[in-house]
Amino acid sequence: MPKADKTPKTPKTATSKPIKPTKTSELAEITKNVIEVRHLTKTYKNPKTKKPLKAVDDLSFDVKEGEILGLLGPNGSGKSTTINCLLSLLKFDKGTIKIFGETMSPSAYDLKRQIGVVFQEVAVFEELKVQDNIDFFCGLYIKDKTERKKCVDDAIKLVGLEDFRKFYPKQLSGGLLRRLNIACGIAHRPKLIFLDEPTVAVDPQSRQHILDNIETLRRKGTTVVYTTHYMEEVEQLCDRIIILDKGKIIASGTNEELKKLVKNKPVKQVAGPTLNDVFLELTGKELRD
Amino acid sequence: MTVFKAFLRILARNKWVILMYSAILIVFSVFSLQANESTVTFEAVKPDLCIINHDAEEGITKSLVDYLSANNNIIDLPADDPDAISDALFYRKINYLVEIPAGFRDDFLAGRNPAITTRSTGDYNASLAEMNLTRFLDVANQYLATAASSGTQTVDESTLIKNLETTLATEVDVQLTSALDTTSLDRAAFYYNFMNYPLLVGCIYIVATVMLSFRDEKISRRIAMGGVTPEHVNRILLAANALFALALWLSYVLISFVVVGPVMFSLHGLWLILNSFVFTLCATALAFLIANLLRSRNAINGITNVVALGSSFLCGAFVPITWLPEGVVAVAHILPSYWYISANDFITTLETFTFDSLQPVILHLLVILAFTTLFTVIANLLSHRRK
Repeated sequence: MPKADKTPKTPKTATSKPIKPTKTSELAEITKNVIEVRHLTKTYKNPKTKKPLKAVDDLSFDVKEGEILGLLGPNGSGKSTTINCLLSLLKFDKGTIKIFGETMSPSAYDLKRQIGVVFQEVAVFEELKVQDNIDFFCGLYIKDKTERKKCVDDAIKLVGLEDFRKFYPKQLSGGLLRRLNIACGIAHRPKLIFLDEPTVAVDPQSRQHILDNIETLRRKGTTVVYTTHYMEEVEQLCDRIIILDKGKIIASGTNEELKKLVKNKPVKQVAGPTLNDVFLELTGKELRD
Repeated sequence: MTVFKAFLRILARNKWVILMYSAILIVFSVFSLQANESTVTFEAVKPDLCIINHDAEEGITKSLVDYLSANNNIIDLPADDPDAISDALFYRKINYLVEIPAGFRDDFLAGRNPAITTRSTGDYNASLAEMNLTRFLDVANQYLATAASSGTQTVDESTLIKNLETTLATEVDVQLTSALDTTSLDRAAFYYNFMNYPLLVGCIYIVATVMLSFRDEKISRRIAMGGVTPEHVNRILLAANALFALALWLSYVLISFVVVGPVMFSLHGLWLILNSFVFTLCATALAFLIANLLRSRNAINGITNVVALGSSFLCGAFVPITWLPEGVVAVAHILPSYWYISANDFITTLETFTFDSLQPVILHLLVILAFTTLFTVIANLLSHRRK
């Protein structure tokens, strides 16, 4: 593969203030790209006006091995479309997507075996018990029974569902369901995990537990792409953050780098600006669809 | 194997539905056997008849009264009390009233065909009494007509009565040459007709539950991200569902050997089994079609009952087709259950098994296979459209 392809291109921003990541960051030490996205463009037909609507507009970014990348953006900014394109669940119009250096496609099953996905909606079988659900999804990747059993046990331990192995999903609380959802997505020990708002509608205790799980995965060297609306989660977890709006990257960098972008510090705020302030300054305060 | 194991687990979760409907099949079949056993013998009954004779009880009139008395239970009522006669008819004390007019003997012998007044309750006992009266008069008239055609001017009454009594007393020995064990075959027909219901419920409920679980958009996305192709998952699901349907059919066939008895080892039994096998294929195809049409799990119970119970009622799974109104039977032709049940009824009446005698059964099987093909094609079209 040509070296130029591996070098991340600085995203062009939609604002008049282009943001560049600081080279002195810890991330600079990590060089291997797990995901390389170049000029990704996806257009939908607007159901109301019947005119083409660019959901993702010439998007280019990289995700490095072992990092947790936060993908932020208001509703309709193109986060989910981007992830669905990355996973080949959606066809895109233009651009290239490479994962582990190989082109991603719906039939790239060798690649898919290295990827774990935790969707925003809980996707489990109501008729299967907790351990059977994890076993089923793990079985789509791992054939060996002994190895799979160990993976399932580890996943159950990781998300803290040891006492709920024999429970059916309907018997679980919202937080436990979310943890089951995560276990189903990561049991096969993927090297790359996509987490799409995994903490929606869970209590603070469950959320903290989920975040701790993600930290554990990071320590094991797993690369994570994380989307959420909770800024404090991103601040706590992510090595690098990309803020999307209207299908374009409007800012990217570490948490500290992004905070420097806020010029007008709120009057009453004693400490520095939060990521929330950054987000609102960059994406505006008007309501989105 | 993972997909098949998940299928088995979903099946195990729904095992009570299958067991419940299987129990219904067995219980109703056993009840039906007992009902059949209690009606294998019957007793001939004589209608209750009242004769009011205004003629002298002599000659042909006496012969008529004697004949009616021998073949009916004679109830005496006051001839001059019309209210008592009406009450007796109303309260079914008598089924039939025969009023012989004065001068009947002379008029009849003279060929003037005198009218006999009758009153009836209109039930089958009354019909039997009327049949006795008509039979006597028809035979007597026949002798009169024969005498008239031979040029005889006067009829010898004693000869007429003698001939009449001889003819009416003639009995014919009827020997049943059928080798069919109708009682056992009726049981078999009832069991296999009733099987239409649990077989449809089992196939539709399980296939729809499994397919809707796997077709759930969120789960489909997760499977699409798995290390195996969705086509591979679909193939295993298809095979697992078909295997389940065959296992259900096989268990019902095995139960039939216990419930119905030795007749299942005959050719009749073999053809009933073959017919039910072809119908199982059709029920599976129908289940796949319904699973493709359904959008919500909440609808599974409703649609299962509508299809299984509806077609069982309309097509004669619970009551014989001959009892159903013509309009219902006409509508039932568009349902595979009708052809299955109708074939069962044909099979149980077959005396011999030749190509000619089996043609109607084969035709029915072909119609069921045509339904199977149609359901499969539509289910595939819907499935491709969804993809």
